[in-house]
Amino acid sequence: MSTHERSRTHPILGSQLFIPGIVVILLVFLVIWVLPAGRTTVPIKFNELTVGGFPSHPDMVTDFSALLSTSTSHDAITLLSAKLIPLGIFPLPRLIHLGVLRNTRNGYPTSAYGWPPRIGTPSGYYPIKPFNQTSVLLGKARGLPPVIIYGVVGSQAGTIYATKGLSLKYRDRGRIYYANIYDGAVDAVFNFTKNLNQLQMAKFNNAISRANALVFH
Amino acid sequence: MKLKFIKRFLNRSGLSVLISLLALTIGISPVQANAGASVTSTIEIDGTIPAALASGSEVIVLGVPSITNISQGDPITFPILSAEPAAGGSFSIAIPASTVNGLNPQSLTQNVIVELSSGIGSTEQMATVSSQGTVSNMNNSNAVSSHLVGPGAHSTSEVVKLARFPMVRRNITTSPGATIDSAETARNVVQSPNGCDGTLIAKSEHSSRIGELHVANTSGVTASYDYKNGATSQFDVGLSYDNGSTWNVAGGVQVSNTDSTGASVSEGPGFLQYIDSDFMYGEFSVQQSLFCLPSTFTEPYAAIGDAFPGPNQPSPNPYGNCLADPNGFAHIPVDGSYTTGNQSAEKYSSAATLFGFSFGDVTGYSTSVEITYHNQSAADTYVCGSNIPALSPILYNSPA
Repeated sequence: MSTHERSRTHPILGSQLFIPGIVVILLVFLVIWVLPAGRTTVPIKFNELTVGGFPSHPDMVTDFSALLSTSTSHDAITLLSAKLIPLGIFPLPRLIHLGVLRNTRNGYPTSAYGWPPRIGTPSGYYPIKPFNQTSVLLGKARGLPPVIIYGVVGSQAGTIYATKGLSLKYRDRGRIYYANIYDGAVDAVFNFTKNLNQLQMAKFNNAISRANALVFH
Repeated sequence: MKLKFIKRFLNRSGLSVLISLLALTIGISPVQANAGASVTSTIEIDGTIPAALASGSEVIVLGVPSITNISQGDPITFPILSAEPAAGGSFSIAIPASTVNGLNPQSLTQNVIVELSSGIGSTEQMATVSSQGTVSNMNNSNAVSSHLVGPGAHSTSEVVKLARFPMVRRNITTSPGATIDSAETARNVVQSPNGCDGTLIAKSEHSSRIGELHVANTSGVTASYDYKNGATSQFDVGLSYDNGSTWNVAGGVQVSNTDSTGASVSEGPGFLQYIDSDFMYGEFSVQQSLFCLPSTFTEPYAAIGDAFPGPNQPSPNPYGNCLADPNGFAHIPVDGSYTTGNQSAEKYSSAATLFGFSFGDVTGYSTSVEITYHNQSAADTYVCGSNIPALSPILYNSPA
């Protein structure tokens, strides 16, 4: 055997076991990592959206929407839990309700009150299904994406509560992920009868503006 | 201006070396053979006047002194050899040969600068003339024809026909109310889409379409368009190789609103109008160089930072109302408020037309451009668009 020929016979690379070994490793990788997670091996990036604002009375349930809007298509995910994301110096309200809009034919609320959330016009309630363990399909080509409705409460009159959105825990092909949905809310808690007075309105509008700046920066 | 131009011209382009070599070449062979044989009393320089300078312009011939005897730091003066009005399509200016040759009596060739200027702008080119009848032109030697006029070696007149003048550098014009601040001064030279240095030759403050605002015709519903500090608008850049006669879109440029307070347009029921903002637009000239063709490009270079209702109305909701929008809609309840965040942007194809170029622009509703609705009416109001409301480039608002 010449020197040249010897150099081409690596003890491992030249072995007959080399190629089958690589195939086995790739299959193991595929089974363990790729197949259970589908195409998703990182948390879904949800689109940054909007800020809804609503004035409320102390301890009144105020509802806001978090749209599961993605720019890419995904398989169904299962919703498990969510918590509020703080927004700057604003105190967080208490999260007391989570639901998923049953259908979006009649639109979704940018804000509402009560639980289930009330529709002002035409008078009624938004159809809600439970949040926990609900599967939702993401990345629809047209129309509204799945909408999570979250109900919050602020108890201190004269306080502006706000959140940047929801930190979502979900299951995707057997794996657990966390992702943020930046669909913020301002819950302005005042003592008022029918309408906010001028000072309250100014405070509300100012809070909306400040919250917007914090959410979208 | 002239001094700067010529110094830059000589220093940057290495033309001084080229001129010296040229003069040397010319001086060594045929010219030297004829030296002393021909007598030229007048040098006549003919040229074509660019259309932009066709009226009210003046032609000036400046002598370029020999740089061989000038030390670094010495002032260089360019004597005016002749100047006269020039009008129409061409000019012909005569200079006594003795005046030209007086620049450097030891040299057989002399360099002159022929400048055309008017209230519109100016252009110039350099030429080399010789009393022995040898002429070359620094801008485009192929386009130069030169000959002796007169009976052979005893001609009394040398005619120099200049090549086409380079692009006219327009004088900087300022619109009423516009001022040149330090930021603009710093932007007087910007890079063209081709990576060539462009010099600001004209500027104008002009409004451009940055968005639109639709407010339902419902008492109590209001909306605002906030154009905040940091908001960016993306504009087309126009590029022309024929002095602005025809333009092509050549890439884009982003202009940010750096006004610290930003601007806002707040409107009530039934408002349906484009939102405009003012920008400073510039026309920039690129001079010919080793890597750059002479060209003109135009782009906005500063945002004034204001926002106001534009003169025109956008199209209303194509679906008639939000409830009929197949993309879905959102309720804003009574007393509710809703603000857009990270919407994709609407492209306006004719945001502004300046210097003959129609600019397209895109202003994203991202981070610093927001639309907010307040519903103080007696019923829900709806928002919708060409996508889900939160992502629609344009937001429609209707009571149903």
